[in-house]
Amino acid sequence: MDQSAPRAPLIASLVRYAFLAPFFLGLLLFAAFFLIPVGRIVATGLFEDTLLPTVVEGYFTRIILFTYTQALLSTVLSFFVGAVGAYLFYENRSRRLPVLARAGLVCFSMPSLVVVLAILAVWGRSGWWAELTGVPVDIYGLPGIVLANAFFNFPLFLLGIGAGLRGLDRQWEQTSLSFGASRIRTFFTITLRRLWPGLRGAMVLAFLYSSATSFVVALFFGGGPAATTLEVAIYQAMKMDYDPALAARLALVSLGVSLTLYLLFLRKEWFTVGEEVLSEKSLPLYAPRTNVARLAWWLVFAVLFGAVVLLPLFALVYEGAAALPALEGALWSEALHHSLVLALMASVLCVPTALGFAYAERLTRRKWLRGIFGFLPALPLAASTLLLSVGLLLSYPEWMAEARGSLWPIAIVQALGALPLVHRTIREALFRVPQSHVRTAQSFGAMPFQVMTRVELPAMSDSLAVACLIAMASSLGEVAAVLLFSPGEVSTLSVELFRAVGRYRFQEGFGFALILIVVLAGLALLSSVRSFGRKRVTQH
Amino acid sequence: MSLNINSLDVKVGSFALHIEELHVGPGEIVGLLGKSGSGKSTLLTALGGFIANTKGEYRIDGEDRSAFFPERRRLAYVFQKSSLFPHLTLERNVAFPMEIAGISRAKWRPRVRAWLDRLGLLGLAQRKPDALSGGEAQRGALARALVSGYKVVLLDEPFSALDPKLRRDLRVVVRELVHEEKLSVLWVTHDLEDAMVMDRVCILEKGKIVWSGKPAEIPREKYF
Amino acid sequence: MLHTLFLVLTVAVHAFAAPKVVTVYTYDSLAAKHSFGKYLADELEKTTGLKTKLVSFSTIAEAMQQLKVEGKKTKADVLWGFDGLLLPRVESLDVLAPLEAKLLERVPASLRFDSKSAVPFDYGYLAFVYDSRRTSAVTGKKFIDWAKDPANKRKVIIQDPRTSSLGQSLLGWVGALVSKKGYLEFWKGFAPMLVTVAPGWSSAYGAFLKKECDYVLSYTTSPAYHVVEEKIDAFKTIEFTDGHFRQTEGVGIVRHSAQPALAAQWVEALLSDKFQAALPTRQWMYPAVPVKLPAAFEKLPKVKETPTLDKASLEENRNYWTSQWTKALLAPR
Repeated sequence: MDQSAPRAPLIASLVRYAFLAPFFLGLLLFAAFFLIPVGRIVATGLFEDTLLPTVVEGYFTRIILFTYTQALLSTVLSFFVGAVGAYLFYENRSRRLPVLARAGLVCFSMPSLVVVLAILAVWGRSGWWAELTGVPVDIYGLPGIVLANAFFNFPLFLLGIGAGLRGLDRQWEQTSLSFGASRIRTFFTITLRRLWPGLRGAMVLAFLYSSATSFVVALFFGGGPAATTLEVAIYQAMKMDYDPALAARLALVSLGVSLTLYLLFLRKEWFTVGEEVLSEKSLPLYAPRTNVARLAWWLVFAVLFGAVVLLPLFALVYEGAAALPALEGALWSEALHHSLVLALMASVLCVPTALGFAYAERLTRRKWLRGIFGFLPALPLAASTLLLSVGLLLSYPEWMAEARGSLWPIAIVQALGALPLVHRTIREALFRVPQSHVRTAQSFGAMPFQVMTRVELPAMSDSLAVACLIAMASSLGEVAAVLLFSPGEVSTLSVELFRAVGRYRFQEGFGFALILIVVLAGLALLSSVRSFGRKRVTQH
Repeated sequence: MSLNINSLDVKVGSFALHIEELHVGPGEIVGLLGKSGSGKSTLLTALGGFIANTKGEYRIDGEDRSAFFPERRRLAYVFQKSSLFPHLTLERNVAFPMEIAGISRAKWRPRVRAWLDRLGLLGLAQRKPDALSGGEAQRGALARALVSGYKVVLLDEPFSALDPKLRRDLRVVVRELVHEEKLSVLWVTHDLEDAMVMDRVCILEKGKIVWSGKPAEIPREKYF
Repeated sequence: MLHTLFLVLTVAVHAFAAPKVVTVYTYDSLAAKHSFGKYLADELEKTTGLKTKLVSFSTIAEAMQQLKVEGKKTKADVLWGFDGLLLPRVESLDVLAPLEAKLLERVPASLRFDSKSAVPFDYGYLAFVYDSRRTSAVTGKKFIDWAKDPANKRKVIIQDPRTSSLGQSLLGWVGALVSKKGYLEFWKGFAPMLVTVAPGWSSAYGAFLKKECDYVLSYTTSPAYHVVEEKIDAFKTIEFTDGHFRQTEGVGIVRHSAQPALAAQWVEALLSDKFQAALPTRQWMYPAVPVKLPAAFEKLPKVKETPTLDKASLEENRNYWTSQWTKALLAPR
């Protein structure tokens, strides 16, 4: 007797994959809250007239050149900070690397305004360095911009390189060395090639983040028109000149660059949070051989990491600690509450959406469709909240008026903002689950849903934890979406930070920043609990 | 129980596999030998339902399952490696088919323990796969295939990563189990030693069976 | 019949049961906790029963855009907090209704907008703030002279007119002082004095408090904050003899408001002595209606002269100013 053999494959398949429906709801949200509004703006940009302001000749070429020059330099510095850190922690066989990488997300999601002020506290004309040494420093111009961007983006390299290093089986290197190749040669011919996917991905993301992040950093340190990034030009076109058509054209440039970079570099893997355990086979090969060399490496790291990350972070903590007692308890506890609820909502929206895209890409057989499912979630990188907000206003004016004060729209926009990074993380992890596991599970009677819950998700658990952390962290540091939808009632830590500073209460602003740091660090530690529990090297 | 394949066509890119007829009876081990690229593993993958472009039929006990979803084909797989799920203990790996079938822990436990015991793995029940040796892991995978109660077992070079002594031991284990449990086994290998415990051997070349017969009669000089 | 009954019922419900709520579109810092707007909303409800629904936008320009898009369907009654420089923009969007004379006349003639549909509710004078503990006083100077004084090289932080309304006002201030021809020259002369151009007030003032610069563009009322809240009397503003540009914030009634009378009542309250007197220490601006000021405000230097711009020149020159500013600051300093 044929026990309901799927003679109608379409319907049967639909039933079989019905469990993916919640994910596809995420895709719908993405379409409604991103594709339609941004598409509308882009259409405006293409078809409506714009009064190109009669600015200086070559102004726009200059903007584009500057935007990407500073992004490139920022990527280089972020690379050095992240790479040296990853190298040292790895060669010392430390289990702390993933913890450090996750803690780095504290920096990744700090509001730019306080980072600027924290950098000034250390490297300003009257900052600690200048006061202590008497040597005048001038970080205006590219140095300040690059420094600040490296502060934000170095964790991307820690994640990318660190994960690559951890999963590395050193047999090939050992073979190479045994045939007499030098360590340097071995590194460049073998190790680097194998780290390259993670490195390349981190570079592209750092580059995109540096070119698309809030303009506060570039403008403040760059000072005026010479340091205009695309973001500034878009902001000006939107909010000062009321020229959405111009803004849309500028946004198209930025979308175009992201698309190109994606097609060139990002289509393949970025990184997986090392699911593999350090084994005897992956003993360090490039550890410094002499104590002097070791000391020198640590010194380089200390200088880089200290100057770019630790000192500004310490300045934030130091100033915030002074302000803490004066913070109004009711205000910050409510802000904390809202922040956490929003962060949770954003990650609840973002992670399943990212999973949905990853599954959609894996399940479809058509190549072009796979490409689209892989690329779409990277798009929000190229379209700022600013652009999105205007798009939403144009697309759903009535809804926008109604939605104010509700947390969901804020969480949706924040989830979209976190989607590129969260999706990269989840996609790589899903694609790395060995096919043999999936097939074995299926052959033993597991439905696709059971394969997901019993095999794939558990195998990805580390990456899922990091993905949640990224979603929560970027929501916690986000301001634009909250201001876009909240009628002054929703207060989050980062929004209160801005409000306090706007009322002359700079100290209080640092206080909020400190609470934000503590919360982020706490979440990072929480997500690393499993890493702590593991042995350093598994013995057989 | 038996496995019958009739004029099966599989296409993967430009590679085509055609099996006119293949029969594996109860208590029988049929080997698939051939060079890499000959289509041995492709056949197992297609039987599992993982290759879309598959035509023709194959029957298990007379029932045509060629249009079934993979999870309803009731085929027990043992792969060369990465067979055990890394996040589960050995015991839960072995229990996997029963957990999927909704059998409670209280019910599966004695059965799983019995199989682990039989394969000499009882002391390792609570270990995760990364703390097992290659031989232990493959024995675990075998235990899981047997616990499932499926009568058709597909082995895809299950022991090729192990050392010769272990391989010899495990071959004997498989042979005994197949007889006792009346399993129908299709076994892909490139190791002629494996063939010695098989009842029949098919040699594949470029997607076709070019020779079949008793293992002792394999024309070694022609194909190996 | 049934239809009529329904209509009557609806009207009745609206007339008797619905609480009186005025919906006000504004920007975030007028609606957040501890803001003047929140205070006003709470007090108003307590004393008169009139409820205020503050709907905040990240900038007032966005609120204007929202009004335009909503058109007749809008639920908004009042648009609150647009900069005087935005008035031409508000008028071109045509989202405000004319105001009664009694509202327009609440504020002194010298402050009034050149418009029948908007009335100021507060204002402040642009000024350069310095810390007298580390910067010596500047007296008897004109802004245009001070701005090119080489002694100020790399000592000033201003805001970017492309991202900050204060920066826009500075463009207006200069536009009111110098001729169109001299505009580029002025900025070329001022550019070397700048430490940087900050994206907004917060980063500029924050950097100033971190001693990054001697002078920062803010308001004449800024020192009052430090006196009242921090008991520090050291912050001063330069008093220019050629005056200080005035930034005025306005309020208006939405053209398609369903309840213009309530809206007018709300604006009247905003302009009442009570709330105007409460404004200075909450908004750190001058109230538009002459009321008794707190002591810290009384002590502030009085601005005698105010360079002004008419609406036409504003509209005509805004883009020109920005482009000249851009050109001057792009030149190597």
